[in-house]
Amino acid sequence: MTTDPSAKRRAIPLGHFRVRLCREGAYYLGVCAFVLLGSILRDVNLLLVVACMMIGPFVLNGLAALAILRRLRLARMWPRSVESGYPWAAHYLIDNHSGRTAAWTLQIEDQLVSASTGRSWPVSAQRAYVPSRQSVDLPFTGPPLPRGLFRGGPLHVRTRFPFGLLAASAQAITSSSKVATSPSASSSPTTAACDLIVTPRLGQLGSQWTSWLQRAERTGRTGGNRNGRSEGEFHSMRDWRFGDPRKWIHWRTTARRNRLTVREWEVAQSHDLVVLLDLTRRGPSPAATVGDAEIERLISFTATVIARQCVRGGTRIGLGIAGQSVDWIVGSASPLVQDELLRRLAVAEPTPISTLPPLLSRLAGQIPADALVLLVAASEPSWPAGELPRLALQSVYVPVLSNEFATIFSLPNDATAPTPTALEARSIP
Amino acid sequence: MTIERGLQMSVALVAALGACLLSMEQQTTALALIVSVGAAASVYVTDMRGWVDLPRTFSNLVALVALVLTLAQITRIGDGSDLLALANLLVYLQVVLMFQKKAQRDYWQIIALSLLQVVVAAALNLSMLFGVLLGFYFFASLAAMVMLFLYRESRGAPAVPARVGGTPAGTDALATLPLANETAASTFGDDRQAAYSDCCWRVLTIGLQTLLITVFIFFALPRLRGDEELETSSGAIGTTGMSAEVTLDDLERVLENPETVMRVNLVDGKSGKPFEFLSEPYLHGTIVIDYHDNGHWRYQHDTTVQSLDEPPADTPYVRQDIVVEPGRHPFLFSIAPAYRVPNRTARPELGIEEFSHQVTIKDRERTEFPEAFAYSLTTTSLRSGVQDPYRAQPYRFSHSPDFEVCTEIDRDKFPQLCATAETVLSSASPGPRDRLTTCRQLEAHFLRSGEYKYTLGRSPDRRFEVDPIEDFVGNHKSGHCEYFASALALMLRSQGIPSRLVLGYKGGEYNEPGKYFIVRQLHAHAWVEAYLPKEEALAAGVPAKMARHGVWMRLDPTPAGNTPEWEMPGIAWLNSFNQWMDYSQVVWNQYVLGMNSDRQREAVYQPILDRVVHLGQQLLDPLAWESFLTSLAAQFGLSPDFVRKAMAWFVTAVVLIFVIGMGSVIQMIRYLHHRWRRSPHELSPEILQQIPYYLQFEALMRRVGFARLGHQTPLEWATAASRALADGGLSSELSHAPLQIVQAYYRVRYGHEWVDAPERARLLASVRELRHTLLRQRKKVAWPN
Repeated sequence: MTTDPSAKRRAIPLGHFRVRLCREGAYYLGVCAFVLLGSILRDVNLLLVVACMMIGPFVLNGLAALAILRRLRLARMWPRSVESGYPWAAHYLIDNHSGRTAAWTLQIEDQLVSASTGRSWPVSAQRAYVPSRQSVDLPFTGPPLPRGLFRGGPLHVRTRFPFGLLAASAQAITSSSKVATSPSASSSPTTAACDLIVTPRLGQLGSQWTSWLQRAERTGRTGGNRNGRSEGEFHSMRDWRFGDPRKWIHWRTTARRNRLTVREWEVAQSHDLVVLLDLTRRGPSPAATVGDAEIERLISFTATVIARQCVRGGTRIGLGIAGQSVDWIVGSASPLVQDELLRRLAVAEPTPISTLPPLLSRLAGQIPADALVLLVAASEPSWPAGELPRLALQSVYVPVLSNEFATIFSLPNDATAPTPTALEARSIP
Repeated sequence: MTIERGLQMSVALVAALGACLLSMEQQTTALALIVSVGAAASVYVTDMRGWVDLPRTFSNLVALVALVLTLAQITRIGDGSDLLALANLLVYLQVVLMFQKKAQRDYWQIIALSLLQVVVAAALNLSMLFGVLLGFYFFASLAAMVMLFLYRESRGAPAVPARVGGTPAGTDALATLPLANETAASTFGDDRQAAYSDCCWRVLTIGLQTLLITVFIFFALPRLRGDEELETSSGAIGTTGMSAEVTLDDLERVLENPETVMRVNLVDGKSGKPFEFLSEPYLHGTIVIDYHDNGHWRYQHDTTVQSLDEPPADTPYVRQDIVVEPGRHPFLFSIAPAYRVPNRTARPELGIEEFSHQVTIKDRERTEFPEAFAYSLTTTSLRSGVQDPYRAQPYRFSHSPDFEVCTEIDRDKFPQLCATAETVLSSASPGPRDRLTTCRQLEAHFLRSGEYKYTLGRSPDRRFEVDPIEDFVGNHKSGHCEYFASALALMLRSQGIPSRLVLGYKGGEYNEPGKYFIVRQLHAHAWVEAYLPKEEALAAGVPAKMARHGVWMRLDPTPAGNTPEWEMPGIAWLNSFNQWMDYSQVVWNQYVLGMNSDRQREAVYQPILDRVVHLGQQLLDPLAWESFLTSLAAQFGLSPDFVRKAMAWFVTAVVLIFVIGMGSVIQMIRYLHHRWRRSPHELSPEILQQIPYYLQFEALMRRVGFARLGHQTPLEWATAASRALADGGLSSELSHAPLQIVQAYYRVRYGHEWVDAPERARLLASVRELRHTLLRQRKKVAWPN
């Protein structure tokens, strides 16, 4: 039984009542007609009595089933957002207003309709018994869904009680605002009209992610004004590797060891983070296009990075999406902002033509000077000549789709993940 | 207890009751016993313990053998018992099914087989007990169907409360209810008791409602056949009562009908005191003399009706005050001979037939008495507490054509009857004998020989190829009074003695406080009158004045055991119960089995029509209203003049109320019509084609998060949208676009006007512009909550 009184208040009555003949009912009706016809033709009154006794349950089946539904109220208690690719738990609230009779064998048939593709996923749940004047929660496990916005389809309730000869069905008012959904912390204009937001699937960032990011930052950031400060505190000495800046070489130690040795700096953890997600379908080569799986991987990676950053907190985080529409949002890293950023990612759509330049134009002057900018894209972007040099210098391209990156970021049970190879961080030219 | 166990038990009960209903027709308890024991055993050994589980192949083989045996039985019988043989086959199949491990289909089959058995039984059975048992069967079937439904809903899916979705639309696999193979406790939790109660309450209420529906349909459904046709088709059962003619063998069973026919008060004509009867009175109805064929005594009423005479002046008489109950009475009844009451004017409609001296109504067409009909007669046959067995023949009988008829018998058709008469007479007195002795000896043969048995049912040993009287005397020797009287009459005719059958009533219940006899239909009786010529009448002690043309001597061969079957001396409550049962059977017989078009018209349609007409007349009768208002005014002390004035106001008020009522009805019809039109499919494809601008606008608003709410009209919604757009800084043209779109939509939807092409294009352009502004340019609009 539900304990949430507000949920009970949100339950709404049903409408559009229908009665349908079931297969068993058709057989029953056939036998009944046979007996009735025989009684009339042969003028046997006792047979007529039997036929009349058969008509009664048939008629009353429909009336009883309708009476059950007329006294029901229903609420769709879905979560505001769920994660893509996983089954999700939700429930329907059934409120039986009848003062005397219970509701039996209720079957709820619902649909999840993707707002973008129109594809639908059926959801059904059954309840054997709802006592009179009581409300019950009818839990169900939703199907794994792809990322996006979903609306609840027509919500039907059906019962064939007590004989299964006729099925009465009713439909909840189809407007999503009339079927209650579970309350959400906030809603954006793009997601207000939906019933369910499926956020990107979150993956795992391996332990090498931090060092990769440091290297990438060291190799990618060439702006002189950021040298030193962005490198953070001295951490340790190590052998030189290809790509290390020359200025990191600690000549005294090199001379002592007779090997090129560089200083390693610890990146300050309190840097603001800006993630720019480029959803252009253009691949590394002009002929290649990026598939849906790769796009989803990019988005999942972005969501994972955002989630990690928001869990850590203490900084500001920004998300720029260059997809079919250009979107930009920034805020302090927190679960609330994480929720909103993931919702933005939920509705992000790839674009055949890059919208990164408009995004960068929009971001001009809005990114903090010391923020770490991660550019998540299918391929290394070619920056427009002379445009936004500072932002370009701040950015680190994250090759999410590269094979070497597979050891850093992985999705659970991801068959489409690239084969891991040698890890290499490359800077944006 | 699991749902499945409940289903098994209820199905077994249905099977057992179905077999009981079938066995009632076959008048054997073996069938019911076998199925009942089998059903109970199957629940235990098959369903509960699993000890017996007939393989499908074996079951099919057994069913095949049963089919072959049944077909062989049908071929051998070759008469109306085919149906019963087929019903027995259903029983065999049912028993086989019960000892299998049952799936849903098996439960359905068992119930269906049981239903077919009941159908067969209903086609053949006629007793009221069948109806009672049918009621129990009906409730058991309802319970079984509910259990089967719950069982069926709970089968075929994993035991999880809900389905894990994920398949695209159209490949839905339903989840199970948490019922299958689980105890009710796990299904209903704490509500188990409430669930049981609710389920039982449902079955009970649906059962009672169904019975009401059954009664309504049964009596309202027009019948196709009338009295005559129905008698030939299903008249295998009847009730005791008076009829104009005698037809033996037409009824399988005759029931005691306690319906009151008349009340007879006997008063001594001289003293005026109640006449004390020491025996039972014989109330004459009619006389039949023509034995036609196959147990049929044909009645030919006398065309000459005379006025009633006064009793002989010097003969003491007893006055008989008779009140006949309302109903259909082909004759009037009296103790013969009947005379009018001296010094009193007789009812003018009364008369007496010339030949039979039967009291009758002069208007021969009048047989229906809507109200109680009372008449007074006198008789001279009551003396010293007994009724004289002789009745005077009013004219010279030996020269009458009826004489031949009264002695007519086809000896070839009645060899055993004639032989029996000869045997009886020769064994009683070998030598020559007079008519009186012959009559007495033959009467004694039926009364005292012990060979004959009185029964209201038709003998199972009846040979239908033989005349029923011949078969009665020579074969089964059991029957009711008409058999005995017919046999004696024909035996007398075989001996050359003119005889006739008298139909009437014998006895009655004497009401001590009222000093009258209550005569019921169950007192209907038949006896014999044998003609004695003058000489033999005189020898028998009949007064010479009475025996002038001979006399008719009453002979009653029916054994004394012809008391009603339900009378058990000393057990009053049982007698009362039996009497009620008997009466119920009569009602059942009349209003269920015997419901035909005529009876339906009399008992259902006509009373309803009469009441409606009467009510209408009362409502439209100004005098009735005036009388009502006058009496009402009198209670409040108002003058009649005030009432007359008020009457005008009253009529005006009635007219106003009528007009308002009609207006309300019209409004209600319009409202319902409107509600009906607002169904989800109200928009026809033609209209949908005409309003693309509105549909696009709706889609756009949904997309921007301002979908129309259920309680909003489109116009309210458009007004809110226009206001929000204007507040958002959109141009006046764009902010007014929603209103224009919805107004155009209204014209199409409710005004049945088509929007012309240029205007439609303009509206579509407005929608496009709105879309561009709101989606592409991302114009921020604060939509109202």
